Amino acid sequence: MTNRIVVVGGGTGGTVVSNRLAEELASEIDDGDVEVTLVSDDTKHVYKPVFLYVPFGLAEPDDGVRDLRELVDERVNLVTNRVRRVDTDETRLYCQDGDEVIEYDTLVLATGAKLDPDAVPGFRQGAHHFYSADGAERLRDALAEFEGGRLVLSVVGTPHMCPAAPLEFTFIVDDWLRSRGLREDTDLVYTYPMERSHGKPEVAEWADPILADRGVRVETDFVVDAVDPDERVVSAESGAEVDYDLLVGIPPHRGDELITDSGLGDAGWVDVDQRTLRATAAEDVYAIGDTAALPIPKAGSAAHFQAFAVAERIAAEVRGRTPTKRYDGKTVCFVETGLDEASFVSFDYETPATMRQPSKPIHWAKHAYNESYWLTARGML
Amino acid sequence: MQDHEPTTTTEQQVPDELVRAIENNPEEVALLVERLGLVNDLIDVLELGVGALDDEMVRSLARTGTSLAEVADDAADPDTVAGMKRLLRAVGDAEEVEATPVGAVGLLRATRDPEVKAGLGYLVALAAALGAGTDEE
Repeated sequence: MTNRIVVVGGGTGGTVVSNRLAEELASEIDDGDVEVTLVSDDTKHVYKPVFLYVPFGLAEPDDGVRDLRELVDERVNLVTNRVRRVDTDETRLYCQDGDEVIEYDTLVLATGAKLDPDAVPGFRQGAHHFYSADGAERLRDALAEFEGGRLVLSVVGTPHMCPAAPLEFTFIVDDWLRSRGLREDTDLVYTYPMERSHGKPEVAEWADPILADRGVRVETDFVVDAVDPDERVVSAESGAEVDYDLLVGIPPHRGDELITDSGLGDAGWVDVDQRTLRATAAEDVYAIGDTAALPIPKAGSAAHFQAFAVAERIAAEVRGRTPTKRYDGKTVCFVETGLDEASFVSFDYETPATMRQPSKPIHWAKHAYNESYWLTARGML
Repeated sequence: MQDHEPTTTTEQQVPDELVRAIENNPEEVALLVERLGLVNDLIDVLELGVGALDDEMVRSLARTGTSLAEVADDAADPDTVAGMKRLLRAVGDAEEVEATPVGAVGLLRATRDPEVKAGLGYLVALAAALGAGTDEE
């Protein structure tokens, strides 16, 4: 009987795990013993880190878009449909179009994180962001017209994708304003909803002196509860307020509703064992990337490492072996510290975050990685 | 882009262990100092590279490398490797015989040859696969 492995989600995690499964189980797939199916509601694959550069005219949104079919191994069946619900008792997926039902023996959920701008009143009307192609392009236009005043980078929602991005944007915009001769006319403010400037204490400790050196005012414990687009004021639960001329917000995020509708976890994040990545509510379901509720940030590199681990586990299970591969929490993020230099941070469940001295070669390594990301998506790197 | 403050150096005490190690191993230290000259030369070359490169050059190089790697990834499929070998061997063999111009009649006559028939069958299969690939795109 054919072993049916189904992956839901065509982002980094879903694409990498599908390709790794096709590689690991090539002979079983060719013999008809295994089927790997990737279900995505989009025919495109989007590499979102490119959006960070769009506001500064350093990239176009299309630079990060490829046809999913082009990236996925031909041994993988690609289905374009939206999964509405998982029935973990019947091991079936119910899809939106054509009432399609997909049966599975092993399921990998990689549905990712969604933006939820309406979770904070006034955010949609008053705040710019760079977490979507449209948002990044609108911010590019707003920045081009910005002639000084108060620019506020406000981390509104946590958890959010790409944990380094708020600091990166702040450092880059500082450099960018200097290059345009506007920095002296700009009051740069950074707000964060925790008692420090970043969720990772080591990152906050590293960033604080750089923010101070750049003349960035930092407001911590600033849990945004509303944006007033008319008065141009962003307000916090504590009652604190910051007025702005240009507000760049990290939007609130949520998981996919199919996760909550299927009883697999709250807020769209799947409860998993943090080492095996197996869902606590269903033995034959894994969750990876932003979808998994884990004590690490929602970073693409984490999804990538998790995809490798889960593919290896599933391959072992298919072959009747006890899977021994475990995810150790490994996460690596580049952190741009301006237009010319970058640092990077690495950590895992046991090892605290370590920051590296910013340098030009690291900045170039980030650009080189972004360009070669497509090899990562193919499961080659 | 940022106006960085010049790095200030602080005078540090040389550890006694280091002083003793230098005193006890003068020849090795001399060799090390000599080799440091080579290291400095290499650093100069690296600095030249860093000074000559810019962001777009790095991106362009990485993009080219990625494109080549993607082609290599597709080409690494065992069936593709076998097919490419078959085609390459055929090209080599064709070079060894003296090819003469062939008209419509000659072409028809050639199709009676079992080897030509087999080759045409392969080319038809190749055309079908190319067509299927075009449909997918």
